[in-house]
Amino acid sequence: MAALLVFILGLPLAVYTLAGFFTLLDFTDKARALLLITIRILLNVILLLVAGADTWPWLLSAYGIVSALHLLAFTGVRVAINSGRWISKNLD
Amino acid sequence: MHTSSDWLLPLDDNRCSDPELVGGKASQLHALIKDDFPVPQAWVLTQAAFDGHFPDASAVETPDRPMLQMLVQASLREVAEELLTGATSYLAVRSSALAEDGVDHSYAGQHATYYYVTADSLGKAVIDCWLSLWSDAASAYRAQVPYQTLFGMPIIIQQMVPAERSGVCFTRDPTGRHPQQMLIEASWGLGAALVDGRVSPDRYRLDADLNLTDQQIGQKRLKVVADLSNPDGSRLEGVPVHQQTKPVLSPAQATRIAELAARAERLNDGPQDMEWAMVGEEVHVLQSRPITALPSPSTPADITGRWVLFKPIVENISQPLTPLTVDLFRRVLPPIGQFIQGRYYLNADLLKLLIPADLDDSVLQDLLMLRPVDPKPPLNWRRLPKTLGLLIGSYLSFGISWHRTARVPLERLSDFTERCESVVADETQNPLTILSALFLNRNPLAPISQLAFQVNISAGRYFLLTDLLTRLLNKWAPDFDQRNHLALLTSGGEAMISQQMVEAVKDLAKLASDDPETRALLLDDPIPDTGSVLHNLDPDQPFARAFTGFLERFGHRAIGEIELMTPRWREDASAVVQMVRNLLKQEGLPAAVDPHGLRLAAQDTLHQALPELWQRKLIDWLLTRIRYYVTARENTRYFHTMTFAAVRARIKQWELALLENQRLRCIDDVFFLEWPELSALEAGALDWQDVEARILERRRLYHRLCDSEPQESFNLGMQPLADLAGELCHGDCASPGVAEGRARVILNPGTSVSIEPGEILVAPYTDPAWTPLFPAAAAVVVEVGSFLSHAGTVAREYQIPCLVDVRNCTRIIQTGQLIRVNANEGWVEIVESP
Repeated sequence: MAALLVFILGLPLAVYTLAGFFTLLDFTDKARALLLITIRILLNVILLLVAGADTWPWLLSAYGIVSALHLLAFTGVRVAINSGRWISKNLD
Repeated sequence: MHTSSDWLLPLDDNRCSDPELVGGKASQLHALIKDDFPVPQAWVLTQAAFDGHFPDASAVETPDRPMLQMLVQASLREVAEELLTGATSYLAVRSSALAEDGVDHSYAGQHATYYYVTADSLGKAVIDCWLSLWSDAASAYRAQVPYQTLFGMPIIIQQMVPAERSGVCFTRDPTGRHPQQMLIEASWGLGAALVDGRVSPDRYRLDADLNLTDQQIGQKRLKVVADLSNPDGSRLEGVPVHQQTKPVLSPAQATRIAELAARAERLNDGPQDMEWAMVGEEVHVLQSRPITALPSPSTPADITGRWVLFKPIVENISQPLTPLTVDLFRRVLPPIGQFIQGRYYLNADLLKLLIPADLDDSVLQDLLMLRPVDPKPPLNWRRLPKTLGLLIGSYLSFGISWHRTARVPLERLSDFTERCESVVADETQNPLTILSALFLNRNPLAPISQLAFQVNISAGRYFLLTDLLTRLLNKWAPDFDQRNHLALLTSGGEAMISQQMVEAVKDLAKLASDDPETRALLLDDPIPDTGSVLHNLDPDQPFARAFTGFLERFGHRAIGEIELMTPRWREDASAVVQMVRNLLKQEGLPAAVDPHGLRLAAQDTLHQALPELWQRKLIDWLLTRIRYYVTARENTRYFHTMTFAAVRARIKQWELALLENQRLRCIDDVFFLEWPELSALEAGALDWQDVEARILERRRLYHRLCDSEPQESFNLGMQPLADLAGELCHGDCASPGVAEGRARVILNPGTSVSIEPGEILVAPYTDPAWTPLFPAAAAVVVEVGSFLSHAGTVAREYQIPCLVDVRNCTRIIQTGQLIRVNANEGWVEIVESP
């Protein structure tokens, strides 16, 4: 039960934490970015502490799923559009 | 039965009243001559001559052209000698086909016309004109006519009028929008550019007493002038920038033309479409024919699914997009929408999936048009799991970008400029790859600031936050005057680049005002173009430096900047000059109220209305986030419009090469190609002959679409909108307040029309180019738009009432009418007509 809870809560947490990592690219102020990342990692640690450290594979799988979906959404859409397979219609 | 003595007749010969002998156009001109209209002297090569040369006209054989030409040339020598006298050195050869100028079908533009024909080339022009009867375009047009028409081609040989200005006068508005008004369309040079849809003409409307009631100044970038080296005797030439948006006609000239048209209507006992030309102050009537109803562009038959007009694009440009713009954009936009007749429509069924409520069609349309929905539709619990599933799936897939866009340091958006420059510097990039690279950066490790378009879209979440804020304030501070304070509290403020642009224009006006020479130059008529502004000033002069700096920073912007055909300010800065002129004319007006001070005062009032500290903190946080997103949305627009400018620059680069090697013949024709056609032209796989007919056809369709109202939705089963032509029009409040004043309808801020202090600006849409008109306006009424649109955002800064989404307001309200705007309750009323 705890593992399932970690997985379910881990999904949005993974989105939130991974977005935090991108602040290293996005922010000019790297110290602020590191602080933000630390806070988000801390939330993961708290989740594991509450649910039990042995549930880490479930948290990791949440990260895996989110990363795959993000990559698919980011690149898949671009590849489909650029290759002309996903194109808006034009009716005259 | 006509004889060979009937072959060639002077137009004032009584036999020319027979339309079966001389064609409809010539017989109508004959009637005008007999009634003393100023018609240029002419002869008619009659149907008898046509029959003599083409005995079996239904199946034309390729004639022996040299022989035919020689015969015709010989028989026309006398005519040429008679017509080419005195000041007239050239002739015009016009078709007067038997089927032309009927009540149902005008055949306008289907047959050839030749200008600046000399005596030596007359025979050739006549034969070419005859042969145009069998051209692909004319044959296709004939095939669409549902009944058999007479077949034959009399020809009018007329003294050439070297028109300085020309156009058409409709004695009844052919679009049917203003049935009681006359409409004059006018452009520079010969009228062919207007007929071919190559210019956006000026439009003058006159009432039944022939008083000018409204004028819309088009941007006339081209005109047809004489060019004897060209087979048809003319060519298109660019119009000097200062003349492009200058009115072609004065009110007195418009009235004189209208008087002639009204006489023609009485003579012919029916509404007329009269073609006119002016040399100096002299008006010539070139033809007059019954008005044929302009065919409304028919709706495409193969529209399946349900679609709603996408409002954010309409907010930026009221006209349809050109074929090239459409074809490029549709290749980078995901198919959540589709283009229909140059406008972008969203898939309504997709939205329906996202909302767990039973939405009827009208609610669905209101949601997609970003209109408030009241009452809110009840929740449908059975749909909730599907909606939740979609939302969770979307969050897991796009959530990382969503969170990243929430914290873009706004100052880092300028990274986009560098990215744009690097993409453009790569000469191997074509227009599509530039658009794709800048819109959809493929590098997953690129900073989010380089994805200006995505940040712009996700900044729309401010809608949700504003809704939450309103609900919380209703609950916690019911006495707080949201109507008067909320708009101010949530406006973006000084960090908005469009606001900075307004300040920069004000600075330009101040610098110009401080220097009498510059001031005189800018207030000079005609409006000086960029070149003359900078040419006439010392480059080290403060205004010249500031003007150059302004164009360096804002030169990628334009009026209607989504459309790739629109010249950017760095190409044509007349709109900027016009803004500065407007401000110079408004000198002495009270300065705009300091919005920052007002915002602080409103925040104090809000804090006093909230009893608990945590409530104040939460509301302040919400306000900060909303202001951030409002600013992000407006500022990202500044950057992602660089994409459009970059794509346009590459298209123009290609166009230049295509014009040089004759694969294109006219500037801006390139925008009437589709992307594969342009690529093929560039690669040499197509030539001018392959695309000429499609360009002409698309130009004509485009201008018809410009004149027609876009359909708001397809297959949504909506009741037609209530007729708003009464005295009260409704809209959405974007900036609160009440104002009364004379209306000033302005359709294009780049024209020489300005607004007088205290007038109410009525506009089809607004983008940053309109902003300098705001300080003088007592209120703003806009045809399309939403709370977040530019009109609302800037009006809030200036503390003037603003109503948006007032449908058809530019048609219903006329300049000079006294109107009352209530932007608290959302209506505008016509109080009195002048």
